[in-house]
Amino acid sequence: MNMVRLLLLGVFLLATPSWASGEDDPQFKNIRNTSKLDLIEVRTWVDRGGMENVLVEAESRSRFDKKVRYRVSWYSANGEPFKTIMSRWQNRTLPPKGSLEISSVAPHARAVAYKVEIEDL
Amino acid sequence: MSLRKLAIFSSVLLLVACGGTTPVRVDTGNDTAGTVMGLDYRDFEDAAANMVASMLSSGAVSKPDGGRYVLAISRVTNDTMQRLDTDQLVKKMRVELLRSGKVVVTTAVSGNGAEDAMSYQARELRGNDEFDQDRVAGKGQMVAPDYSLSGKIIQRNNRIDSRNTQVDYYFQMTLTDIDTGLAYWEDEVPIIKRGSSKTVTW
Repeated sequence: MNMVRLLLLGVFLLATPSWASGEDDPQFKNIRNTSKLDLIEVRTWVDRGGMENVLVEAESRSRFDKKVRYRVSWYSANGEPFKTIMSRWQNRTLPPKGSLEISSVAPHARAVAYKVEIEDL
Repeated sequence: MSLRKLAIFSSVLLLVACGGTTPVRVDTGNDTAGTVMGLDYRDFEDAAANMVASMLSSGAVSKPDGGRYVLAISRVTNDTMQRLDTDQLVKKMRVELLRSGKVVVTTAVSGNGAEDAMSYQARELRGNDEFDQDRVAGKGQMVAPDYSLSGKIIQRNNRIDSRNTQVDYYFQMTLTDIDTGLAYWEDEVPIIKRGSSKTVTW
């Protein structure tokens, strides 16, 4: 896996936990982007069930098919991670200039922060 | 060659012949191996995760007062050509729903009778002098389910050409309000695979 480059979107604050830090723009906190992916949008909302949701849109800059994997992890206000199969890695092959849409629902009403990770494969 | 040397040589040869690939334990949280045409644990995880996410965001399992709904597991049918235990799907969903804090599952009632018969067997201790009757479960203590979860796993094989086949798997689940018989949530997760016809399970 020596070709792996990491794009870490980092922790986005839904309830401003004390352990998080980052720049002023809450949309793109703690981003480390070394991949050929452009981050288009990060959107959050509370659904009908009262659960936090996140939607991340990214776009490939590559002229070739691009294989990536991603996962979304959720945390409580004090930084405790929620163990859930909804946080498993998922693979996706993006066509040239193709877009990637990642959506995730919080596994618990106490889940107030999340981390999105996207890796090149 | 002496008989003893021949015996040792034969033993070594036998050991070498029996040795296959060294087993490796799969890191299920970071498994990048290719898929198989049948259903494997990743497919069940995907299906369960998608179903639970859909159920949670639908609001069907969110009680207005913040309490928990009681869920009974009804029948989940395996309509595939493989021998599956549908608990591979249902158990994962149950664990996730329990962890969500919105649902608790009853094991006293299910589509196949009580999942844990002990709830009833322990009640047979009523009136038995050998047991402290204050600690025997009283009448009217069990909680009836609000919802029932049922479903089906379907497989359809479609030949693409002489060598390749597409296998469609559909995971279908329904959440029924037991009071009214109305389905308050339903979803379907398709998992589609293409590969050599030789590896397809018929």
